[in-house]
Amino acid sequence: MLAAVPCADADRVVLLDGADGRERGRIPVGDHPVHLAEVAGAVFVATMGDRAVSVVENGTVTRVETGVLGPSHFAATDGGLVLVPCTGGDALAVIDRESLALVDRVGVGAEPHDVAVREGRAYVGSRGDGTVTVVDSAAGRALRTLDLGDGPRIQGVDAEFGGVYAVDQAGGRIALLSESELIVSDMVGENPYEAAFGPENLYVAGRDDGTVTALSPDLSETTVHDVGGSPSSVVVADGTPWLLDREDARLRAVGSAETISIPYPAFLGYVTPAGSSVIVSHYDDDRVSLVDLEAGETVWTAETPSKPFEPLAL
Amino acid sequence: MCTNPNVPPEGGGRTLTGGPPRCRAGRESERDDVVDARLAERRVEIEKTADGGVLVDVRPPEAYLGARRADELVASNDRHGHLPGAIDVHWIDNVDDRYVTEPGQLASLYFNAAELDQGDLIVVYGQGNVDPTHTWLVLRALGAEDVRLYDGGFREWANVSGDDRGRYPVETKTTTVIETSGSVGGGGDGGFSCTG
Repeated sequence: MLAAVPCADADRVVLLDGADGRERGRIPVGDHPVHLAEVAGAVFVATMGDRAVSVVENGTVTRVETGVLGPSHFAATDGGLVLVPCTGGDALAVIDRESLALVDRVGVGAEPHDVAVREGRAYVGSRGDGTVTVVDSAAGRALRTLDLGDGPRIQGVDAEFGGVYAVDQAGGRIALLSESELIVSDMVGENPYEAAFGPENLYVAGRDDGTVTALSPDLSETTVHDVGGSPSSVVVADGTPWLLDREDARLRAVGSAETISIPYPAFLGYVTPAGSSVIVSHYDDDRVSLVDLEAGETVWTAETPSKPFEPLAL
Repeated sequence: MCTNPNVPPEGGGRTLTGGPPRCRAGRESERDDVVDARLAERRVEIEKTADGGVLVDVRPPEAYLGARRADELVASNDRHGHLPGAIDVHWIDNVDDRYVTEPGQLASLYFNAAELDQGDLIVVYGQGNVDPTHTWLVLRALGAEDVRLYDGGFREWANVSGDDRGRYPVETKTTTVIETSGSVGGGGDGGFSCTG
């Protein structure tokens, strides 16, 4: 296994050996890389400071122009398209996976940040307008815009449990959507960013009020865990939700007393395919660790270029 | 120079003009397909400018950034922000009270602060045509060799039909990426981030 980590202030993706954390290489990818996605053997890199994304495949880096600033996240369709919201503008870039060419751009709500795909439709959340645009990506057109109320700021968008969930950062809410309407929404903690999904529940960290809200898939049942601190995100491994805190050098199991000490506070994490370990980025300390959740210990910690963001296991 | 903001430039404002902008009394009716074709050609030219030249937006910073209440500046625009890759140099800096700003200050503004070069391809635009024409004149007077006016302006670009918006995107941020912490991030300065 390799751990690939985009380092936002270094314009590099660093590759670390999964066994011992030894650095295996640094790949120049463009300005401000933040998120990675593996699509059919290629690694797509969202370089948020550019009007382009990078694609790393077979040892080469290909730049794909989006024409709009701020590519942030990715979603892939069954039809071989890779979708990229451009947060600095108001467009969803559509890239053909095979040819690595921009094939279309679709107008969506202002400052789109995240995208999810479900049953042939892409759902694009807008930070600026607070809407979710439903897109027929194959046809290259927006079908409708779902209005999520007064003043929302949509950050995370995910397709899980047979529905689509959108996190409203400004309103402290999570919404369950269908293709045609907002079905229901519920309050979560203050300043939420995105949801994490377990086998039976979803979890949303409230960054400003030190909570993690656990919700049933239909949002009808809610449990608020008062965890304190500055919870930045939740990762779910083998059914257990683990809390990452930007100011606390521990992983804490949500809803139990179990904790694992780590060398530095963690910002974002990625559960390895085996499900028993998590790669965490120490964003403020320029390091990355692999944590064995079963053993309850840190396996290795590696220095990285500046501002390691969301890791990915390859 | 056109002095009436309600009067479109000659030719219906359908090309990037390299010569001095001119005005006519009123817009002649044009077939929609001709307008669309010319707009598409102009989009290609503007995208090339964004790649190899400089787009200069002369509107106020609030309009350029699509600030939260930018719709109050120009309520008729469907979208707010700026053309992808454009920089903002508010035209008002061209004047000092009732006079044109001293040439040394103007040269410093455009060639130092805005980092333009006299040899650049420069395309200026505003909401309409009066303000960018002023900038066009100033830049030509300062020795910039290839200055053009996008005479459709932001008014045209921002108000294309919904299905065309992806081909005519509007940006609200700049290439300045500022990470933020503990707030909703991405304030009104054009910076934005993925952490907040």
